[in-house]
Amino acid sequence: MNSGETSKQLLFESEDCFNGRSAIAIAYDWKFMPPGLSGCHLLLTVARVEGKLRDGSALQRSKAWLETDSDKLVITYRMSFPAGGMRPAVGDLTGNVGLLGPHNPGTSERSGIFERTLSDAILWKLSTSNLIRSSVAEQPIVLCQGPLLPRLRGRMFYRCLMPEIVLLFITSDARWLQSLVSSSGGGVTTSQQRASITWNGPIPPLQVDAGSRAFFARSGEYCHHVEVVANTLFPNEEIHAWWNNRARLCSELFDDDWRLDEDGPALRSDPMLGGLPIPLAAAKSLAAKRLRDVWDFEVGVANSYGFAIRAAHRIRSPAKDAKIAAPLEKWNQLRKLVFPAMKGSTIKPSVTLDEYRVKCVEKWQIAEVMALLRDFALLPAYHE
Amino acid sequence: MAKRRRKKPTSKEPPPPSEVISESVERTAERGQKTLVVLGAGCSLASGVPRMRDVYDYLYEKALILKGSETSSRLPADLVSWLAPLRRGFGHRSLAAQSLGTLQSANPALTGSITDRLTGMWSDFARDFLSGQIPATGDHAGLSLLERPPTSFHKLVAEWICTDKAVAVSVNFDGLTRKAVRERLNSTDAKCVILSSGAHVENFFLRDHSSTPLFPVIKVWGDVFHATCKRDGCPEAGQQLPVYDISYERGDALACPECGQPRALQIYFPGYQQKEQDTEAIIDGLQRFVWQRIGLVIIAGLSGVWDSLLLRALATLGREMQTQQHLGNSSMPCVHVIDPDNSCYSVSELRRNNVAVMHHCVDVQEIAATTKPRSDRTPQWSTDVEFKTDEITAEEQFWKELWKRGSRSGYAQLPAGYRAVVDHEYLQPFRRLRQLGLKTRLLRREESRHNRRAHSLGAAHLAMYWIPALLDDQGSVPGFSHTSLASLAFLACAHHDLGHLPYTHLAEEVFDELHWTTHEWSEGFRHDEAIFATSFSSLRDEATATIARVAVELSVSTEDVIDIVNRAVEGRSGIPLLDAVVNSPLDADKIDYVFRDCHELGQSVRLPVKRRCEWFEAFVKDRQILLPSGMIGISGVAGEYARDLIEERWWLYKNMYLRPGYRVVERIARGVVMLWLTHRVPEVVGRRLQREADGIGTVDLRDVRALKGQAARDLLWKRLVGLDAGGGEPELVMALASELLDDGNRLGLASTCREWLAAAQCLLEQVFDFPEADDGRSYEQMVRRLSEHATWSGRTYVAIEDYDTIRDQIVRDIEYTAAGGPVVDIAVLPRMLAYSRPQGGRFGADGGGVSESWAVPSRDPERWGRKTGKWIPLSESAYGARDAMRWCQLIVLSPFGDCDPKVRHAENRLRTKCKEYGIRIYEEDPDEFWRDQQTAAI
Repeated sequence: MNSGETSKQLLFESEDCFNGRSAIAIAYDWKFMPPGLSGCHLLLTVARVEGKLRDGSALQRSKAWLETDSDKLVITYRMSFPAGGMRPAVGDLTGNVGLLGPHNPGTSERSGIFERTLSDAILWKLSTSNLIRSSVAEQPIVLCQGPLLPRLRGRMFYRCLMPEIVLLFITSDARWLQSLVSSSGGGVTTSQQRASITWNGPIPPLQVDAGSRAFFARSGEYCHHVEVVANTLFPNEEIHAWWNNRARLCSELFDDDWRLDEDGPALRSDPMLGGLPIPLAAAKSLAAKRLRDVWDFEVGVANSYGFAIRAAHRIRSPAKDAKIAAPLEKWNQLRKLVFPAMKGSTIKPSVTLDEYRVKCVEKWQIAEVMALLRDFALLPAYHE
Repeated sequence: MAKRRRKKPTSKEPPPPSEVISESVERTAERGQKTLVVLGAGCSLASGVPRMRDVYDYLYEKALILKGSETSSRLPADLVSWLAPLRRGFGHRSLAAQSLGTLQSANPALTGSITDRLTGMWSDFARDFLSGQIPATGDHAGLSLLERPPTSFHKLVAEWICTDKAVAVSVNFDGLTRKAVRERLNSTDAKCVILSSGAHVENFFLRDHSSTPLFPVIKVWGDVFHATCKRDGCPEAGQQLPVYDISYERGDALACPECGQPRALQIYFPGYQQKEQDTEAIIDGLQRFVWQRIGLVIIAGLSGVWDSLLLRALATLGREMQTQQHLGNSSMPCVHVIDPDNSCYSVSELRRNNVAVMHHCVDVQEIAATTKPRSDRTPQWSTDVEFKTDEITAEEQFWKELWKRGSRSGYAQLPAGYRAVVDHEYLQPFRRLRQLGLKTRLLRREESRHNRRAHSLGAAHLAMYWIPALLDDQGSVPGFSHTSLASLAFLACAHHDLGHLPYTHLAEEVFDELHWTTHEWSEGFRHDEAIFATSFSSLRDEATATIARVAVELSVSTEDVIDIVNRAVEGRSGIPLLDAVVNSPLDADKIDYVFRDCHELGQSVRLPVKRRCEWFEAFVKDRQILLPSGMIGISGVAGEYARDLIEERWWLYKNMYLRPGYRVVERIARGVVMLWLTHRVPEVVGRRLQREADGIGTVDLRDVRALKGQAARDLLWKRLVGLDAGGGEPELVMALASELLDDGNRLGLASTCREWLAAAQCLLEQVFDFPEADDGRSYEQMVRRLSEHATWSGRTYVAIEDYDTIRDQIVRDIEYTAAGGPVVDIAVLPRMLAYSRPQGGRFGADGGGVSESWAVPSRDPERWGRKTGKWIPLSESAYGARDAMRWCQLIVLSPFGDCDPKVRHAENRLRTKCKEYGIRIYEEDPDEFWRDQQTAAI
């Protein structure tokens, strides 16, 4: 039986499998810092969106979710690699789909470190979700930005998670589809009509041992690829039913009906959606937004900080120098903002970049500090 | 006129390079380590010694003349074109090979006149080179090569060498370092020797007693000139004499002392196969005997462009030192390069290899001019502390007996910190770690006396006896008094297991499987690495407080004691004697646990368990010799006893520790612990990071493996310490299984996995609680009980080189794609010669690495009782060769009784996959199989 026939058989019966279940979506984004900036090599954000599925296969934001500060569901990690050596190859990595191999042998170790961290960050997000804990009876559907990284798959297996927890790794990038298609030798049905999406899979077929299997489809401009974590040795009587359920989930995930009621329009208009299921698109959007904020701040501070310190060194008697009164005032504002508890008025150039970062994390502060730093960077010109 | 205010140096300004260098060398010496000084051509420039660029320039000028006068051959024109880039300081090495090769041995196929003229040109060069006529920069140009005085930097290095602070490695041909050392040693009996081959290095470090101290200068050949007699029939023919050894007593320095014919000057430069081989041999010698003593590297005046082998070795050494230094939270790079060239190749090459380098862009002579050797500093470890000789506070009879014997010999002294360490309350949690882990319970042994604390103190008592007994009439270790050395050995042995986690080696297997570690960026988890930085916080605090008290007694800083104890436990203290006693194939740890386990098991093959004191006294006192290099040479009774100890330990592993019954229980317990950790650790780490993120928005991440490893360590220790009094690892694993079962739903554990856990819990309960057998055959009784609750396959074996494939590709696939199914136990037979992790690279017979601290009289262990008149490193004995042929034992098992059919299925999968990967499975002990094969071959 080829994969197409399997898929048709598996999709034969369609039931409402979302009803009343929880959904957790985890997505991430990252950026490499330019070399020489602030000792940090990489910024990584991981975001989690949680919700509950209503009747009619719609995702409704739970009350808890609505009341939670969205920032708390996003963590930004600053990663630094060991001294010396090369950073991971940027060409091998893409923010949208995860890691693409093969890595450059010179950077494979560091790419490995990154992949481990990313996998762990996803696992931490999953572990700390209250939703997954509270939904004992109705095991949640977990949507992760894919593909299923090998090291993440290892972590999932070590945890021996119950088959009822639906773990789906989703990408919408043609490269993954290409690699799957070329490896399986199967064809992909293309259609401009969203209603007539044809799903292929699972790949590899059930007869072959594999820790995870993939389903894929192409719909208009979008390519969908869903990797399903699964144990290979289910008892024989369950295996077809089990895969049947997963196949149906894949099909319904990308159904237009599956959307948020309240905030749907806003999210659908987001270009980040990229044909992804709405919860995952929302998580991706959140991660990307947070990353942009932190990135701007890190780079801005790193660029301005050197000027500020050099300028501070040059000031001998600031009170007598009228030319620098205005920027000095701003400098003091900045200090008060960053170090509200610090006493005395002497300029202390020994403030480290980390100290700035620690104090200036809230978004409003980031913007204000950035503005001040930009102004203050002009101080050398005044002094000269 | 307004006074110009002189700018005062602020605390923000970095100290001058000379101060940094000088301070680093002194601190390294104070920590018991040495500085490796690598001298390149830049060190001799001030003395007027020509660089290779000057040599090429000279030859270029001559070749131009030749080209103008010789029109019959294209060779002079070629020579000019080859030498042109070389004289400007660049050009491929093949150009140097072509031009110098052409000049040194002109092709006889060439027609007459050109050959003669080339030979004549090279002879002129040789004469001018030796007589100092090659134009060069420097103060002493014009003097003959051997009349050149050493520079001030050479003198500075000589001072460091003679005060035992540094080891010099030179790539130069001028012999100026040796000259400087000899000048420094002028009025003493001590001598300076040049070691220029691997054999020289080995002979030097394995030399027997010598009346005069020797200081080495090690040559790793750069561009080296030799004088060679080419006259047929002359006994000197073919002998290569380095230029620095040429005698000027006769009129013609190049004349052969035997036949009187002028010798040819030959250059020996990188690219010659023989030279590369010689360089490798010297570097191998350095790695074996020198590297582990090094705490700082100074590379001076070495561009490194043509010294790739040396740079590679230095990069490996630098990385190792960096890792260790990083663990010690030191920020100062341990590799310094002194070179005025801003784009120095050696700096960029080392940095490219992930080595943090401090580059001082100054001339080496500038460093020497402003550096004053710090003779005012008294070596801190040389003070003799007055030790108490009152009665020992011993918990074990053996210690008391050992003490009495020591008292009779006059060297029973309580080392600093003795009272604090043997205090009954000290490091109490260690009592909960049973010496044999779960096996202690399975063997029905007395757990209160067979635990890690008792073992650590046992090893400490041996060390306390060993050091004074060995040093009693055999000289000393430079810079260290007997008492301070004994105290350090005592402290190191007492704390050598501080880095262990609950379940000790079983936990190491879990960490190995999960790639967790307790310290950042280390290769993997090792319980003996950086113990004071990575051990459980409450244990660490207690130990640090105790050591602080000891440091006051020894009049040194706490950091220094901790640093040297840390390194001694890792087997790289820099003091071979201390390494030998604390972490080596024959250390106090192994002696104690082998005897202790034999005693508890009631089984021994070679060791007299009931006469432990006599054995140990004879082992230490009878023909155990402290070699001048600091290594210990063993022969006579000591040699025979050492062999017995190694064999006994091997026997214990093969016949006791790896017995299927024990391994089955341990593997199942390991499964429970691992499952618990893989659920708990992400929760703990995730919540911690979330809390941090709530506070500051972003989280600084370094090595996530360490983050998880540290969380796992703390979780396990807290749970173990929180058990009721008397509770240990068996109780803990039962508690973990219960917790997982209770929380299974919440954790999302698969039903098959929960069934597995329930079966494992039942099995462990049964085997931990069975009554002791009346006939003492506890193992058989335990196995009978076990077989009712578990199913396991027979033992099979694979060679050690297949271990990674088996673990990563085959066993993981079998175990984790079928949660709750059978699991596979892979037990690795350890090495017979269990060396500590060497500093500076992996080498040795099985690629596992050695750091030499022992010497034996023969490769054949059966001849260790004799005196053969020579010493060879222990790693080169037959045991070392056997270590290259180790194996792993595989058992497929399941916690379900009734001959679980899944075990047979998993075993079949294992065999099929091994076949796919081309891995040979042995059905019987491979040692027997290989021995049969060897016999058949003979």
